[in-house]
Amino acid sequence: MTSPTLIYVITILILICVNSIAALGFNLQFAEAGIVNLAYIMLVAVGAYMTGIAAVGPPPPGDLVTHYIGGFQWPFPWDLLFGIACAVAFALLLGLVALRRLRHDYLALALVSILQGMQILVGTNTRLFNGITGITGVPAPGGDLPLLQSQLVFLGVAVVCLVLTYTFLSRITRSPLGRVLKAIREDEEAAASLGKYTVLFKLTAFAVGGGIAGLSGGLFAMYAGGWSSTAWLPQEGLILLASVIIGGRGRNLGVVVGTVVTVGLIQQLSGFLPLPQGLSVTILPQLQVMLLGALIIVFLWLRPEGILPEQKERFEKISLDPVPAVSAAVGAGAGHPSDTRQS
Amino acid sequence: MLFTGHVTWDQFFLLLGTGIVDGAILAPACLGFSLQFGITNYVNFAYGEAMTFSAFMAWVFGVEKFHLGFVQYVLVAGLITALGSLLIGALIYTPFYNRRPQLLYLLVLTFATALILAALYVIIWGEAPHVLAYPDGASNTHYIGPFLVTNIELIFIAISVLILAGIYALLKYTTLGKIMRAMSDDRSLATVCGLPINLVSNATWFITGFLGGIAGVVLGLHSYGFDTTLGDGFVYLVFAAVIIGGIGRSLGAVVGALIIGLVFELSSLIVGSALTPVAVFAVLVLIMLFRPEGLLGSTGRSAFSRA
Repeated sequence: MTSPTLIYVITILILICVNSIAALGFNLQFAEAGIVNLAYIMLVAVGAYMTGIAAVGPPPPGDLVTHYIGGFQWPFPWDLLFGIACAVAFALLLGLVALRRLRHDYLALALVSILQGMQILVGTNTRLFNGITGITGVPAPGGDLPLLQSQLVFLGVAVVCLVLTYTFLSRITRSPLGRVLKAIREDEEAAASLGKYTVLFKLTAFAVGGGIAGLSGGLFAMYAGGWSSTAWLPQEGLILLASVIIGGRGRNLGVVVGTVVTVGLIQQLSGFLPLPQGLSVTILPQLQVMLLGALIIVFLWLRPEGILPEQKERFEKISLDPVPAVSAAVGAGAGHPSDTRQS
Repeated sequence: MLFTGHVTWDQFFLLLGTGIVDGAILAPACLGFSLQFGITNYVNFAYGEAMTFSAFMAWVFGVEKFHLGFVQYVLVAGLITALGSLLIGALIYTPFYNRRPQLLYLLVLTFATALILAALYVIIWGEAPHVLAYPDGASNTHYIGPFLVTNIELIFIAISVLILAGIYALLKYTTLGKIMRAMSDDRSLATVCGLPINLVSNATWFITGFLGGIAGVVLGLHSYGFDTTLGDGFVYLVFAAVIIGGIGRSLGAVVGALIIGLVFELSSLIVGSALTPVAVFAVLVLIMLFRPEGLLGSTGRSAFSRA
């Protein structure tokens, strides 16, 4: 059965998988570690570009307008691994500069400023990644098979990557690292006062999140067959933000549910709804951005914890004082980071 | 192209002059953004969208419909943008702040608002470039000392100086300005002193909207043809300038604007015009590493401000 419907269903599933991976990485930075990185899409772009230039060959000799660095023609999965490694390295570099001493509001501002500037830099500088045209002809695993088979192969790759990412992140969340990250998010001074070097933990989360962003970016580039500067505009990052806010920040399952809502329901199914009179189809992406933005604001106002709220860990009350009344008062802050048992 | 050959003094002064003009264009925008943050606690990512809106208002009133004169359409666009800023501030931002004042929510809120507005502009005005109406003799050039400038660039500088002087007088000599400074210093203290917090917040949205509006029209004039991405392509310079100067500090915003303007233009002598964002990042990175509170920022607030 090679019906277009089946292909379309597979496409949606692939998009949900790849977007889920990206949103999970964003969730690690944003919700677990409390780094408001609204420029996350930039890390996705690093993975996509670097996977692209590792996978494609150099520009053909007669072609004078196409310029990009790299062109290694590495086979799958080495191109993808290269993209992930570059995204981790970029996130580490960015984190080393930005995470050390900046206040949260400065940090968010600086990251968005760097995103906008990078957009202009990469979009106008044709030597780096071929400017606004971008990298094209990125091969996908199984791309030379017939359409249905190649789509199924890619879906398999995406599902495997999603399962690996999900398992990896769930382990991080439950690990001592995850608990320290949440402690830092709740009260950085308290975590620091317990002897945790908070910058190192935040940097770890930032780099791991960057690697996951790179993985999703590499998959995006392979699936779309290319990557250009319009693929990582700030509004492309909005769908990841919406997935995390709507689904439930700080909970991996919630993030996947959020992605199903944003990608499956809003991005794809909204295309089937009849448009109001006098509006053309070309404004559909804009309407979707407005809808996603409005949903984010509505959720923040009514239910900021999302559809599936984070399950706050509960800790046994620690008796610090023999007098029961006082110990109850101390224990009342259950879940407070000072109660967190750290390894 | 790492070094563009030898540089003549003419080139140097041309770029120095352009850098000062860029700084003058940036300064009101940076001041408005910084005041918004200081007084309302909002890091307003939608500030670039206010500038875009104003440029299109100037286009509507100067070119499309009413053919107003130069001064009229600049003022009208600025005032309409101020009203828009007041509407969003009073109807969305202020109630939201009263309900959920956590920084994380505020950041996400303005980011989402910015993208909603940007999408709305594309629906209304499309993606084609628009050109504003210029006053007569706008591109006539003069030598002022060693600087070669056009008439319109002189107008930009005049507008900037007028606005900066006006805001200085407002903050220094009026009651409203004093309350604004009090709120910027310590919002809770200002609240318990019984100062009209919400009223002054709304006034701030109006005034900073006006600043962003004027900056938007000037930017639209300066770029000779603009589309709905006008503000987005510019606002990263505003963010960088504000971080460099020290967020929430009025003088810092102006100093940061001048530094960014000069760096933006003069760096093209060394790295070529395509790589000027890199030079801006370099300055930003240096500030983040060695003076994260900004050049004129105070170290008084905790580095561990909570999200």
